[in-house]
Amino acid sequence: MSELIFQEFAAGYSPGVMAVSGVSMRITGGSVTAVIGPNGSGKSTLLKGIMSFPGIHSRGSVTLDSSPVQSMNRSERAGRIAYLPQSPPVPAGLTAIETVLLGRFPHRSAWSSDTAEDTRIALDALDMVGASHLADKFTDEISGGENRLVNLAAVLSQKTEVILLDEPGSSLDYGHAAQLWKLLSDLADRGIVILATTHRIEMSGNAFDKVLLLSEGKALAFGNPEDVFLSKDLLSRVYKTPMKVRQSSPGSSWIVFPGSSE
Amino acid sequence: MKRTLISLVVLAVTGIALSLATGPLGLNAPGQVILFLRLPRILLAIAAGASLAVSGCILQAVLRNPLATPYTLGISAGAGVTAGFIILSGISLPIFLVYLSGTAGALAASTLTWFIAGRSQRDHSGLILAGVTVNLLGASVLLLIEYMSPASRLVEIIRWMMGDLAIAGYRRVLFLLPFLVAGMVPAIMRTGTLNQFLTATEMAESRGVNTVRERLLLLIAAAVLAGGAVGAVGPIGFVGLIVPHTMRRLVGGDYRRLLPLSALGGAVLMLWADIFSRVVISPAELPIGVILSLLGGPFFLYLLVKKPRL
Repeated sequence: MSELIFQEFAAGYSPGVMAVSGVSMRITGGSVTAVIGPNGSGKSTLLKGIMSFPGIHSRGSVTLDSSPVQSMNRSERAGRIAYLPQSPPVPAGLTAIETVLLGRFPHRSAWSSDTAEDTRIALDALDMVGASHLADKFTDEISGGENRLVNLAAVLSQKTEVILLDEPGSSLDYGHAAQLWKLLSDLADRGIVILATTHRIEMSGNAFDKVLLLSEGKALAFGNPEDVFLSKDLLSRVYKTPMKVRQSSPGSSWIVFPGSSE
Repeated sequence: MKRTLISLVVLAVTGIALSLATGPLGLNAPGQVILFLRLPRILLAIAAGASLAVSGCILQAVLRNPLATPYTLGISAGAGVTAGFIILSGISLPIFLVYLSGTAGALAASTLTWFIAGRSQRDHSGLILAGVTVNLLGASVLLLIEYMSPASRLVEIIRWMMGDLAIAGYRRVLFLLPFLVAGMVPAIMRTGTLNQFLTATEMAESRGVNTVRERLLLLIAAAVLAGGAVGAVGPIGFVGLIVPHTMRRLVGGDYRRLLPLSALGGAVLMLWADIFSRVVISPAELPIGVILSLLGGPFFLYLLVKKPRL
């Protein structure tokens, strides 16, 4: 089972200033890890740092099954780690299935056509996110939430060991959000490492197995959800508002009441 | 897709036949007219049309802007300024060097655009704004050149800006050939990469595309294609806008289909525009740039109103 190990990892937009730092954690396939924290706490930068995007500088190390991620070349990384940004533009002029097929790019040459195998994988991925019915629709004719699902399917069709998702649940309705986190749990059960940022603890049910809490660019806590969420005043301090976080029974969905004191 | 391809091939073949047959043949040497006037003209129209269409096609993906044309990079302004300057100065250069100067100006302008955009990390909006700046700059310099020109030269400059396919012999076709190959080959090898540029840069990057290098390579290919065409036939507008959009409607946005079909579509549009330019006010010729602008202006407006698919 794949394993992603962070040691004093830090990332930022200039070599001197790290937007997020102090991340040391070990996350394994089979678990969903959520990155939470207020706006500007460095959640997105953390994911971008792992991907070593142009213009992003990083320190410390991330290793995937003992290979350092930062020294992987692009195509090696693309074969092992997939990434879903916060709000990718709609690739207009393409249908949903063509958009999903974009995810097969790392597995073929830069101009070759899609094989029957590629199409099968893409259709499977659309099916997994519950968007099969959109296959032949143009992406500019479907809603923002539906495009979100299509992009998620594109990421799945990349068939990687690790999937990084930046706010995957944003712009999804209750039903699709629940379906998304269920899907991420299922993927984790198949041994895939899932690392997702989110602002909405309550929208995820109890899909998280681990939580990384960021505050002002520092990793503040990492552990089981109950340890982080129920730690006295921790979330209230970080979000600078009284927070009540509850679970009606162990293992049930998390409920969050921002703005109300204990 | 098949129907579009067949229609384009039919239009191309009939266009070539009609173009060969259009116009007076001269009593003495009809064979010479066809071989040294009509045929090179047809080849030039095909090569320039394909170049401009593919150039626009590439830029619309890389700049992620449906209204991008080869001129978004400042190419027409650059070519206009150098050609205008040469015509004004009255230096009698070999014709080959006049073409070359148009191309050099076009490439210089797109390089300038690239460096101005450097401050904004050369993302799509930064490049577009830089291109607009370079175009404005070029237009004002050209205006100055026109103001300083004596009337006879002014006519020449304006006539050059309108585009011209009237040639004798194969020199201009041969001139354009290396640009066509140098731009077209890398573009066709990157049609899958162009598809990746339709989505977020970071998504493309995460799928293994070296976005910085590929963007530069594709911009160079687009500039080389348009620069060569501008040098050979003058700054003819709108082929790079009309063709990719029409093709997108017909065959969708997948660049593995779109790019080759746009090349064919560009050739067809240019061929037919050239035929019209020769018959509309026959026996005189209407400059091809005038016809394409008359076609392109309303089309541009249509795109603005209709919110096109990229």
